[in-house]
Amino acid sequence: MSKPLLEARSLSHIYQLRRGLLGKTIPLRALNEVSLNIGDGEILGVVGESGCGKSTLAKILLGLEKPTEGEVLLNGRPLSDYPRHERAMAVQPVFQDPYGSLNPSMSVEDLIALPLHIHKIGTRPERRQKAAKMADQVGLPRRTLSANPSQLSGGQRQRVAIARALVAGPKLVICDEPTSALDVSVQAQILNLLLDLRAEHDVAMLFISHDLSVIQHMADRMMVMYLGRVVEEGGTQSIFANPDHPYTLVLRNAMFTPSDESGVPDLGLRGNFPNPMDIPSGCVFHPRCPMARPECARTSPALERRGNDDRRSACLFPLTAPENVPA
Amino acid sequence: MLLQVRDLKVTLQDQGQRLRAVRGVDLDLAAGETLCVVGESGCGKSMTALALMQLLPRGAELSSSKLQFDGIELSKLSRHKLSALRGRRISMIFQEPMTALNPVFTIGDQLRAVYRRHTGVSSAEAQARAIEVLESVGLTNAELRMKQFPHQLSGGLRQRVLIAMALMCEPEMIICDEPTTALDATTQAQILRILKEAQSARKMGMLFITHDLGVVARIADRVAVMYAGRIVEHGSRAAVLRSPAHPYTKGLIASVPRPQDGGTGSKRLASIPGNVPAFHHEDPRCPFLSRCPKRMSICTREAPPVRQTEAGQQVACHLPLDAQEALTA
Ligand SMILES: Nc1ncnc2c1ncn2[C@@H]1O[C@H](COP(=O)(O)OP(=O)(O)O)[C@@H](O)[C@H]1O
Ligand SMILES: Nc1ncnc2c1ncn2[C@@H]1O[C@H](COP(=O)(O)OP(=O)(O)O)[C@@H](O)[C@H]1O
Ligand code: SF4
Ligand SMILES: [Mg+2]
Ligand SMILES: [Mg+2]
Repeated sequence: MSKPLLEARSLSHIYQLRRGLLGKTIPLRALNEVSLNIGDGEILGVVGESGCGKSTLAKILLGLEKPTEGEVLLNGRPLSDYPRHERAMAVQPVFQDPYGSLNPSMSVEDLIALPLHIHKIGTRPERRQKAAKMADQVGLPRRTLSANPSQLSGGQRQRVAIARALVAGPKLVICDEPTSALDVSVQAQILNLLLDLRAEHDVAMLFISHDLSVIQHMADRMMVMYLGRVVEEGGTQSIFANPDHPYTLVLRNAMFTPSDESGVPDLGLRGNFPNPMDIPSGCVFHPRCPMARPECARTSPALERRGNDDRRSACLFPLTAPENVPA
Repeated sequence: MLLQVRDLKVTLQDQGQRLRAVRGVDLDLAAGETLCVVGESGCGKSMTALALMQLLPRGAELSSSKLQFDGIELSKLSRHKLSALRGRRISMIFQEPMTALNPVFTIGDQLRAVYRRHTGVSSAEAQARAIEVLESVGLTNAELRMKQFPHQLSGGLRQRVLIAMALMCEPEMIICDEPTTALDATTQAQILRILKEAQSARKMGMLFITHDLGVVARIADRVAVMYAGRIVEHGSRAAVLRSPAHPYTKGLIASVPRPQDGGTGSKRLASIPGNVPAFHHEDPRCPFLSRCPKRMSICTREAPPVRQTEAGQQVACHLPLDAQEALTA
């Protein structure tokens, strides 16, 4: 296999929360030994409930947060060795909230051209021309170039964020819930746009969403996260057809689509919402897992390869193991 | 009919302009039935719900030819009679539970107060009832939870408390405004199950507002599709979802990512270009006019008639898509 564009090796991240007047700190383990690869032009999806560490992973891959442990390699070279500008040329973010991440006092044109300006690419007229071309590509009307973000709709603001992310020709875009604040008809426009841009520029994406149907639509490969860990990963189609981890199955059962009128399922989830300041022993999912057996509270399952595809899952009693498949 | 609404209109003051948020809505809800009102943000769903509860923001104008709950005309009720009805015979659950819970009182204080205000029972009886209802909505350690403050609970638990509060007096009708929109999918499924179980146990009428067609497919008996202050299509769940007749409904359904697409990311989603318009003036024409792919010249001139389709739904369109065409979505 050729060298991956991006490689993350065993990333762990601990936030220290300050509690009380004496400044005592409590560790919050947001990420635990997460490894991943992204190839050129590939879309890797990341799904999991809120608080499972998705945004922390995004920030680390963008170099905005230094992992407590582990390292990130971009083109085989540690991300931490990259000068800030060079890193920003190669990896760009698109965040959920286009309202918060766009400077309200700048025009759309300046917002899109800013990365070029910062990297001293081209002359001013060349940068303006590039910004206008990028606006065309993301479907922003030319007249919006002189507007500022407050005059745009939510979907248009997300187009500005995408244009800004792509203008300097990055190899990788980290999309953290890019459509979660949008209406479904606008979400469809943005998802189409991202797929078109991928085809055109061969840009790779880490695509984070809490919405499994979006991940399923977008991702070539996907990772399912729970309490800071990857519990299952592999080809998107294969995971959907046959989830291996009980949590993946729960997520799939909780995914509602307009064509499924089968009523509200009982997910079989037990217990309460997980707490990253109090991580369970054994399998992190065992207090809620519908399939848990006594052993699950004692033994922590490793993320292991199953069968002969590239699927890996972390469960002591995986659903696709022959002995667990109902006859 | 538990609820009958005819020609409901809500006009808001928006920076000195009159904003027509709800423009002539008709709704019916029977006991034990779930009616979903579905539409994208800003189309007037919340204003419709607030109008039913007579809880519109200051400066809002409301008019209707009929706004009846169990034969009682709500718009003519005194303040006193209204507040006796709200929370007792009609309850409401909002998207953000924090706005409905008072942060400085415990969960127990608030549950007991609601019950005692409407029933006049003793505090001990109210306590027993609160624990019973909290347990019925799947809250463990109910007694401990009663002593906690709203901010000490997760979003999913707060929403359960709000449901418990809404169910305290066994209402005949419950209005839910996007109660699961801010929650994770797994928590959403759990909350929806609790609501549906409470509903069927008490034969409650449920008016459920959402933007999520996946949720509609799982819980609705009937569906009203709202766009720019109007109901553009209305019918049984099966009719509306399987053979949508209005171009907006069809566009909305087609823009949802579907499992059949496969994980290749190769298939483009249908999308609806443009944005929902705001109406500052009366306009009887089709509200979807500016974005409709099927627009004809008559659409720009005349109000669309309401027709009945073969599948049985009602649709306001000059050229409703027939079932055949809808299937090729
Ligand atoms: N800056 C921070 N300081 C302390 N805790 C944080 C910080 N950012 C995130 N967390 C915590 O880390 C965990 C993972 O958060 P996050 O990565 O944002 O999850 P997700 O994006 O999946 O919702 C959560 O419990 C969150 O509360
Ligand atoms: N308090 C308010 N004052 C003025 N306009 C409002 C107010 N609340 C909502 N609106 C406007 O009324 C319209 C309908 O809003 P709403 O009923 O909240 O929509 P939905 O619940 O379908 O998202 C929107 O255009 C919205 O911007
Ligand atoms: S290891 Fe046990 S508790 Fe964990 S997911 Fe597998 S069956 Fe469930
Ligand atoms: Mg996040
Ligand atoms: Mg609303």
